[in-house]
Amino acid sequence: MATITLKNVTKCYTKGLPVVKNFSLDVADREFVVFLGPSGCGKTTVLRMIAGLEDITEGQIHIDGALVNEMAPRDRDVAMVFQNYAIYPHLTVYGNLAFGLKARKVPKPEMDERVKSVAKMLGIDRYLERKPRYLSGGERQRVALGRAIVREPKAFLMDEPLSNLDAKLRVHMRFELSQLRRKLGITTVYVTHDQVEALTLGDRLVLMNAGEIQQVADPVTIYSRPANVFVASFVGSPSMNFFDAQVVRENGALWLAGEVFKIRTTPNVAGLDAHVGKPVVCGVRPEAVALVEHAAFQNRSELLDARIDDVEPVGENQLIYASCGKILFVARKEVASGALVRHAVIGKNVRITFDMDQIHIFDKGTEQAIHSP
Amino acid sequence: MFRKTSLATRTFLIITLVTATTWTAFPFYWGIITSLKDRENVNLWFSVGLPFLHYTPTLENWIGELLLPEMQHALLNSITTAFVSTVFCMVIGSLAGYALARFRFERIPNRDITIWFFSLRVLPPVAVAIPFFIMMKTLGLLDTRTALVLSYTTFNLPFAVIIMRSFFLELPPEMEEAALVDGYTRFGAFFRVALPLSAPALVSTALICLAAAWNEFLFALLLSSKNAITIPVLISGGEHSRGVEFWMVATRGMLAILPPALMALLVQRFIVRGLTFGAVKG
Repeated sequence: MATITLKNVTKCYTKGLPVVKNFSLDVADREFVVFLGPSGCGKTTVLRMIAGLEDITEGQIHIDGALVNEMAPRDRDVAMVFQNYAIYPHLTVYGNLAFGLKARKVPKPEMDERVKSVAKMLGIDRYLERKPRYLSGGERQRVALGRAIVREPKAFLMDEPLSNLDAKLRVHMRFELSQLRRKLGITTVYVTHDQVEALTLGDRLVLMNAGEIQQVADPVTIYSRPANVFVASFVGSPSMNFFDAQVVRENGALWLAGEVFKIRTTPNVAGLDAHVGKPVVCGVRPEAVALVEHAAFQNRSELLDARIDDVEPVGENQLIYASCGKILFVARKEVASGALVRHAVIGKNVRITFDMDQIHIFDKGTEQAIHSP
Repeated sequence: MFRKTSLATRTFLIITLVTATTWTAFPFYWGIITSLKDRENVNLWFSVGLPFLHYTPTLENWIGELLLPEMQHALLNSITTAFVSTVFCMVIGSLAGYALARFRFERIPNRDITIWFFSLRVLPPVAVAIPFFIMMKTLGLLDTRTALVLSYTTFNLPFAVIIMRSFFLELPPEMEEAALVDGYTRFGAFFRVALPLSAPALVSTALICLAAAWNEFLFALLLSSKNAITIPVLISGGEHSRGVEFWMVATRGMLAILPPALMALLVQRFIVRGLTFGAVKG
């Protein structure tokens, strides 16, 4: 049980650019925080700095109020789960689980009890005497988790723990992790590049790119009110549709003028007055784009002429790819209301519309959000 | 395999295999049968006569050699110097190799240190024979086992460092990092995780160091005169005024082969790859 505080943490490798810049974050006691970002954005580096496996170039890290910058990893009382499990191949499952307890000189009977109860909780109690090489991927993952849990540490640090599992097992382990965190309630920092994992597991998400925090918020806010173009494009699958436009005032209304179309803003789109005459980036999620005949939006935009390039069936949805000039829009349509027949619609000229209640507008220069729904 | 090949290929294969086997095995065969002959029978049947058929084998040479004080002394010298220098090489070599694989040295880059070790390995030992002799003389270590242990360690250590370094480089660092987070020091992680996992590399490297020290001749000849004589030096002294005493040379040769061969047999089960399998793969 502990808080983790990072203050202006920066990491530079010798003669290199900083891989983590000015990172500040407060992780509350019992909170589950997920670092999300593309490969190489520095999220694992931050985690390793919290664990003590990387030196901190600048800034401070506090665990449970104590400054740990110069503290050895063994004294920080955190447990880490590695992407590739890193379980000890020369020890049995029991040996792996007991390894950290032996280092802390936990008396034998207590150690035995703790190892067995954790093994039971994770369903690996049958394999205690086995060597890791005789275990499946999912079982090894459980051993790695068990090794962290059995220590009863102040905090868990998890570095993409599910990324080595196959898709089905990953969904299952994600569910188990979610159950575990509820049961244990230990402060956790979890690193992933998988947005579904991040959105489903995290109390709060830290979106990172190029070593910098882009946004810190709960999963719902991250999805519905992204702070900038990067967050908007990174979260959501398929990604948000973007198009460049200029804000113009005509006939007493504000318009978003794109290259081949012009959309009138509705009164609920606020904050644009200061941007008249300036370029902006507009974003709409696929579920807020529709062919005019399917659109059931309360506040729909002007119609755009487009041509259907492709239709992809994705389970209960169809993704419609329609190009409007040079811009390719992706629209999500529910199959339940009647599926499109792929070969019949490809190449067809259609008209599309946006849900104006769902439009995001970003500053073209700073890429920061001006308006979110 | 034979059924599908032509007669010519088959003949060629058989001839090649028989030649290669004979070429490799003959010295051992000769050594063994000669060591079982007494001096009258040595040249019988062009020296390749078969025991029991052409002469009566005898263990006289073996017993004689083993009871010879010089031989006992040389065996003891060889065993002590080879083993002690191997232990030094493995202790220092695995620690140095680990440091080179895991830490970044600031003043002298890791690569340069490794190349320096490598340069020691390719250096012809004879180039430093005289300096070594003078050093040992100054230290008063001439004709001692200590001198031999020091020189063998010097020449085998770079090999141990280089091999252990490349092994540790292949070992995923996450397991040691897990140990660090689990509550161990660097040394704890080294001894409890890295070292047990490197058993195959340790054993193979130790065997090679052992063999190199066991067979070493130049420095043994140079630095010893009476007390510290090792087996190779003793064997080379087998030519007397009476001519080459083949039965004696053969026995000593076989005696020299036995200990390393037994060693290799004893530890061969450790020399298996794949001990790390299952650690980090999904």
